[in-house]
Amino acid sequence: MVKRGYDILTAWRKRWIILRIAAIVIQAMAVALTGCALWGKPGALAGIAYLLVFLVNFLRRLPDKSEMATWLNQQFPELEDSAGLFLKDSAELNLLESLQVQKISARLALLNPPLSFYKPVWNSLVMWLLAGGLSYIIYSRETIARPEKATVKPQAEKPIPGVKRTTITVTPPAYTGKHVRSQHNFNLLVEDSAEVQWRIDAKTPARSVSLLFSDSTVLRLQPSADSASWTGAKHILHPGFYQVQLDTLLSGYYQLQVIPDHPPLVKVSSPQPNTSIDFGRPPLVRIQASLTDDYAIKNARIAATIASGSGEGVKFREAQFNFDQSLAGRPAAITATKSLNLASLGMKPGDEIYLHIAVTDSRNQQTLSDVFIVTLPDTAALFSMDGMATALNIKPEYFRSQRQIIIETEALIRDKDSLGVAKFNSRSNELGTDQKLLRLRYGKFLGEESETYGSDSHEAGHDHDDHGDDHGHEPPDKTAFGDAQQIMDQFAHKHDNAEDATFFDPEIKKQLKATLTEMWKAELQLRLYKPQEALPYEYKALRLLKDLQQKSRAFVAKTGTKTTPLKPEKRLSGEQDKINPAIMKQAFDYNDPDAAIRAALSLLDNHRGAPPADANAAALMRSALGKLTTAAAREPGKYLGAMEALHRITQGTAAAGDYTTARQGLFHLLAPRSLPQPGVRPHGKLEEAYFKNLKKAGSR
Amino acid sequence: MIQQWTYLVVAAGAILLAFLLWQEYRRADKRRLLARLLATAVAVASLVALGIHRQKATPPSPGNKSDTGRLKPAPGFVSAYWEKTLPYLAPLQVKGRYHNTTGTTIRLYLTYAGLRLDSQAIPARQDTTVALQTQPPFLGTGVLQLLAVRGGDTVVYPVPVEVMPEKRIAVLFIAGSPGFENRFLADWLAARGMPVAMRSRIAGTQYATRFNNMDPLPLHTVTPQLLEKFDVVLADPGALTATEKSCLLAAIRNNDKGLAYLADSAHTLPAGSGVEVLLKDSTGKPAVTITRQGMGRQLQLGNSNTFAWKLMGDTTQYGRYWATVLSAAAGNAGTMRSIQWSPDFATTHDAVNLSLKNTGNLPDSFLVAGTVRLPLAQDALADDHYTANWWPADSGWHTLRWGTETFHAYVFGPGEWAELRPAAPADMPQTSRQQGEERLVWYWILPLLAACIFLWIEKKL
Repeated sequence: MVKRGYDILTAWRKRWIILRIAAIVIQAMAVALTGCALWGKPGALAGIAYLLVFLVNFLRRLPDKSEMATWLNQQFPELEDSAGLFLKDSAELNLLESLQVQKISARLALLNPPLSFYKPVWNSLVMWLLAGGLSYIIYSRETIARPEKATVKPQAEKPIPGVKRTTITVTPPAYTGKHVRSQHNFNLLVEDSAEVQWRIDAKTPARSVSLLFSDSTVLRLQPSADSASWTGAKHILHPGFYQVQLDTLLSGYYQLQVIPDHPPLVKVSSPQPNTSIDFGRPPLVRIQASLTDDYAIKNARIAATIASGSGEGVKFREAQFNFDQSLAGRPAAITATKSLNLASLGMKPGDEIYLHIAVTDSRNQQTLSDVFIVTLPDTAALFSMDGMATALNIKPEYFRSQRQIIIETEALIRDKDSLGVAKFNSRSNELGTDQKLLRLRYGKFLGEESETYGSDSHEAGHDHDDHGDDHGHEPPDKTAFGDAQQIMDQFAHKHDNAEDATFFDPEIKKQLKATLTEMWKAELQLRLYKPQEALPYEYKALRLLKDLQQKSRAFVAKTGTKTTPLKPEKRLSGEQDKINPAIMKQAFDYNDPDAAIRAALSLLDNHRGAPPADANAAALMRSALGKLTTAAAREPGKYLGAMEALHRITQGTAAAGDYTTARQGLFHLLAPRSLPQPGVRPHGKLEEAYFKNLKKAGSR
Repeated sequence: MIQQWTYLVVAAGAILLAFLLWQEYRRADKRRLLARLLATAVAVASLVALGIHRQKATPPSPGNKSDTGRLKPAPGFVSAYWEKTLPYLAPLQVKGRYHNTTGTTIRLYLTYAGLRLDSQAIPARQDTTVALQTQPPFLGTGVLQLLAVRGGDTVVYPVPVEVMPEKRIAVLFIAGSPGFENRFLADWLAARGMPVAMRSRIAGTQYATRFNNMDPLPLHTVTPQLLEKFDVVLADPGALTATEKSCLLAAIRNNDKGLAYLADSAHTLPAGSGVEVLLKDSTGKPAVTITRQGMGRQLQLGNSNTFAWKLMGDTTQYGRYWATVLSAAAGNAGTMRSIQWSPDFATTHDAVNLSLKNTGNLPDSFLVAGTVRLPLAQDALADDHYTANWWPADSGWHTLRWGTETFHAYVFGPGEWAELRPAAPADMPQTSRQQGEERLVWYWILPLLAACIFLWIEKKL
């Protein structure tokens, strides 16, 4: 009896556990459905996570049999709270208990599980309904507001029936320095001039396998002994697409994209396009350039042409130099440097050197950089008075002064040994003073503050900051008593005078400022008793001043000519009978190149789901397909998808996304154009009547 | 938004119904179970119906404008317009107002085949004008799409356009002297198949002439018969005699023609009333002005150096400039027929009023839409004007045949541009419609009340 009751109880527990597990699985599926509706396929993971969490949680706390007995007691009063007796060993039961077991085991066998027993299943079914409804709403809303997808995903390659395995070995050309690689996809992206080897294993022995290329070449693959494995190789020189033909079966189109090898790139950061090395500076040119290439740089050289002499006696010499860096390792990018000593090249003042860099890549493609000119100016020319007499002179005496300073500086350097140190220093200092005076005189043109400005009470060159405390204690000058302007001048700090500031245009001012800077530097060196180092600055200042003089010359640009309309009453009034004017007559055969594409786009817009029926439309589609095919051979990555889609549309086997893909491809083929066109609304009788009445009203 | 609201109401109703049914079913007292379940279902169904109808009952507004005084404003167009028929290669301009009632920026995209061609952002809580422009890529009928994107939410508005086939504009040049400007323009036009005639004075009474894509004509005198053959005249003001000038002006006043005066130091751009600025230069100053002259137009060009753009290689700019100028000058020259339909956003299973204008010969007395014959009614006063009524069954572009002529008309689907469409046919008197809708709304109160009363009394029994 106990045994029978125990069995029933165990069976109930088992059913309960199974029901609960089933409920969890159903719930997990509902969650997965909602997840799918929300996020697509990855949403199903939510269902799996739900299943794992709840299943583990449930299995960890499985109800034991005594709990089951308690539950039965609660559910069925007819068991008289005695279901627990079935769990005891029959030997352990006392008399009363065994009687009770006998009494209730018959009842237990007759019991039906209550509805609440199936509650978890009902609950999960409700959950299913809710999830289904929710996903339906999400889905239907998405279909309403689902615009055409902008990006067309690259479609996975469809396997060719009858082909077991494909191995494509790409041998990149030597110039790339890349290793041989192999792939199983038919779509190819290979380097220019790469060799591609196809190996196609057929499932059953084939009679012939060939590759049809977009340039209408055919590559017949060679069979192995059992004609199951076919191989063939081809050098890929230009992009396109191809098909595989297995006996009579034709595959889809596969891309054949080519990575071009661009010539190397040279970017020169030093020297500047026009450099002049002032006298006294070390005659060194530092060349720095960054060289880059797709794969490797084989060779880089600096080609120099040295021009010496002037007038008709110019002589040219050519020379070539290597960079300091070695290119033996064939780097793809390098910053190359080189220092050229112009003196060791035998260049004298007045000579020029023209430099350019020639870079060769591993495919022997050469790039030449721009030409850079480095000049060693001839200082003798600066002293010449050519052009001075006729040119507009700004302040000739200042030029002479600067020149004078240079001459004296050079004399000082020459006499350095014969003079004592003290004398040398004092003369250098004097020159510095001269340079300062010159600078101050030019400064006036710029409206700079003159240090000798103001009344006697001001010391030349005193600091600005002590204005405030000093002036209060100074006794007022008696002679100036009542002169308000003078009193104000004492306190006012006159920086720039408005009149001074408007002498020159900004360009000239800028150059004057640069001149003043050079003079500052020269003065500094002179005051430090280093006349040798002052010389370059002095020369530069002189050169800038000379440029300034050239600039002040007026320049009148050449203007274009435009014929004025003839006035027949004044001109051309002679006998004109013999004039036989030209009559030009010409007809152009004009065909809008894009009209077919545009008309095909309209057809694709309207004929959804069916290939165009009438002959005219079919011809348009063929013409558009031809244009797409040409474009696909040129740029397979961009147009091959659209070409295949349009091909399927004309065959009547189009998939849902094909119309969008084809339209996108055709759209990209269109070139921007504009054409004068009349409007589309005709003037009718209503407008004419209105216009006539308006005229009548106007004339009345 | 209306659809979203409907889904929301239905979903809430379904949840409520499931809950209530479950509660009824679980009640200990199992009497009248079926009746109670039924009553609950009726109550919830009427409640849902009330909610849905309330939202739909928006007061109608005429034409292509939506009503602004709505109960619960949803983001959407307040008005929208574009030319449904365009000349070849002409730009499509979609204009309107968009009211963004939400707290986020809505982006409008004008797209074709999923490619974005133009876009505009509508800031949060703003009612802004919308102006989108593109050149339709097709020739014939087609549909662009206007997308309103808010976060991940997208509403699609179809923008159907018909692009008419290419037409030729015949241009007559009257030049005071041979010049680059005229020469380059004539070459450009001739290469595009346009008939071009040019008269350049080379001596007192002698002219060099040139004819492209047309037969030679005597050009020594400007006569009305000569001008009939041209749509646009480009003239040097100094090259015309007084009689020629008056002849030209009379021709453009009485015909749909354009006269463009080339730039001349003696003539400055006119200003004042009646003068429109067609093009402005980069500094914002007018470059081309257009003045109405009777039925035609007179243009004054401010630049006679456009050939320099072409020499610089900027052919796109050159083409755009002259396409704009000559299209404006040509007006509607040479167009004989056109079709218009109302309402603007015609829908399926709704009356569409087709209006045809035909200045040419009459091909037939009825239109054929698919297999349906639509008889044409001629207007009593303007006898070149015909109307027909049409009840289209399918959405999309339709071809209407009129003898040998074909026209195209677009019919929108029921959910497209819904906010700009009246809720009921516009010709129904307003008072009766409102009453009808109110009755419809209150109708559902009755079953709701009945069901609730039953459930309440049943509990008391």
